[in-house]
Parts: sequence; structure tokens; C-alpha cells
Amino acid sequence: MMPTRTVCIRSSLDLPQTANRVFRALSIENWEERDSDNHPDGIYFRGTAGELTVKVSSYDALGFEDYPFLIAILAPSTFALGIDELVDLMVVDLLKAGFEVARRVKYTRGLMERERFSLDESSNLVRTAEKVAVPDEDL
Amino acid sequence: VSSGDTGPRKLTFAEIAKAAEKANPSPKPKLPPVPTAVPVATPKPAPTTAGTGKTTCALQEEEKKKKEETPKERGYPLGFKDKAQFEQCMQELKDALEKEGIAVSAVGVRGSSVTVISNNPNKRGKRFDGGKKASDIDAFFVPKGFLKCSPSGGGQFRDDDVAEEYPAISDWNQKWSEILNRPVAAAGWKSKVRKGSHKPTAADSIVQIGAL
Repeated sequence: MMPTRTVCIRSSLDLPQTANRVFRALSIENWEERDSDNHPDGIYFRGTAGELTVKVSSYDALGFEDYPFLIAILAPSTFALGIDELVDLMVVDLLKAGFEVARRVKYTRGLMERERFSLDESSNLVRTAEKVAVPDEDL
Repeated sequence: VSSGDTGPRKLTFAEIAKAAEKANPSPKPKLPPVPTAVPVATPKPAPTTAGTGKTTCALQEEEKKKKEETPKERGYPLGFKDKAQFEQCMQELKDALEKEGIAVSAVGVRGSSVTVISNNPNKRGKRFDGGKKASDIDAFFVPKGFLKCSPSGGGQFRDDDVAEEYPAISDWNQKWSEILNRPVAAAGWKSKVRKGSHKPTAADSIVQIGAL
């Protein structure tokens, strides 16, 4: 089993520069640009640290127009820490590196429920719930 | 997550990543296998009789013809060893989608593993497995209903979002990435998309199950 989790980040840099900063913030040295038609620009960045995989790509999903980059983390279910704990730790490092971070909580027709992350004075993770109206989907 | 004023300090993600890499170093990129559909010039040998009743020349001509077939002509993308393996891969994707309760109208593979040379406007001219690393296999499906993740304005459900919301598809991605020794992932596409969308087309994809 290889669970996946995603978070979205805001950055004024382009995708390659953003990926560079993300991998540096997470101390992932082994990363590369890859081609894929599954991504908006035809490329994404993929880094690995042992059994962990982190992907950085452009993002344009409804409800996240203000967060143009997606970070996905994949970790085997046998990893020492659970995937959700890893995500929290990753978010802390991303916030400390200066990124604004949010994630999807629930998507239903016409509404995106998401949470925005911040750090309090003691560097504890704070989650703020948000609701964003999105255009109704046609099938 | 707490910085812990009194208790032991928690590790950061960066420290965990370093420890994970040290415990299990990432493999160095391997050179990809030679794509089987790329035409290979072979010298024409003198015809001799083979045990099959065909001359070796005829057999080599057949082999050469097979090698010159495009992935669409032969019915399976580059990166797969044969059609049976591709069919199994697509059937397992359909099974994973069904397990997650997603009814689909099409399942297939698109991109340079089908067209050999990329048609993507951002990387036009790039050849499948043309670099030092094995290229990705980009699988797709077209759901009949709504998904738990939002599509892009262009109508695509991103592969990472799909993998997060539907663990059986994440497991499928992982299983086939290991089998094919390259990243494999499935993205979703709405059946109706706006003009100019990068949705898979008959020209750049092999639809194994259903139709676009």
C-alpha cells in the first residue's frame, strides 16, 4: 500500500524555481524534472528520499485558483510515521520556508471545503477552515 | 505537531527525509530499454531455409515489420512488453476504479508512449525514452459521475488528487510503476471539456476499454 496525500502552495516563482525551493526546504537532494501529459505544463518534478516520494507540479483545480502549485507525498504504509503525520511535518517545513499552504478537505458539487495552514508563536500548526464556491460542474 | 517546550523535540520533515535517504538510498536513474517500435535498420541476410518453412530472410522481414509498427497499429503503448501485459494493466485499472465505485466510459493510455514523439505543445518533438531516464506512462479514465476531487478548468482530475481520494488507484499506480520500472499514474478526464482542453484524443491515445 502506498497512500498519497496532497497540499497546495502559493508561490510567486515559476514551477522549476518553486520545485527547487520546495525540495531544498524538505532536504530532498535527489529530484528531477519529468515529462507527463497528466500535468498541465507537460512536466512535473519528482524527488525521492529513501521510500518517500514528493512530487511538485502546477495546479489549476477548481477551488484552488489561488494556490497554483500542488505537492504530493507518497509513503509506504510500512513507513515509520503515518502519512498524515508526515504531511503535518512537511507543512511545517513549507510554512517555515515562506510558502502559504492549504489542502482540500472535502469537495462537493459547487463547494470546496479546504483548510489553510499557519504557525502560532510556538510553531504549532494551526488549521483554518475555509469554504470556496466553485462553478457547478457539467458532466 | 508541537515544538514541545518541555518534552523531547520532534523531528522535522527535512530530518526524516535525510534519515529515510540514508537508510534506503534512492536508486540512480537507469537507462531505459530501447523502445520496441522504433525502426531499427537491419542488414539483409542471404535467404536460407529455416525449420519453420520460412526463409530466415522472410522471418527477419516479419520481425522488421513488427518493429516498424506504431504503438497504435500494434495495439499497445511503448513501455509494455506485449499486448497481453497492456490488457492486464488496463483491466486492473478498471477493477480498481470499480472497487472505488467509479463507473467509467473509457480507460486507456495517452502521450508519447502512444505517439512515440510527444504532441504536447510544451514538449513537442521529445521522444519516448529519448533521455537518460525512462519516460512516464500516462493512463487516463473518463468517469461517468462526480469524483471526490475537483477538476481543473480544462476538465482534468489530477492523478495525485485521484490517488489521494481513491487508495485502490494509488495502489494501482504503485504496482504498475514497479512492474514497468517507470512512473505510471492514472488521471481522470470529464467527458465534456471546453474547447482547447488537453483531453486525450483518438490520435494521441490507445483506448483499451470503452470509447472517448
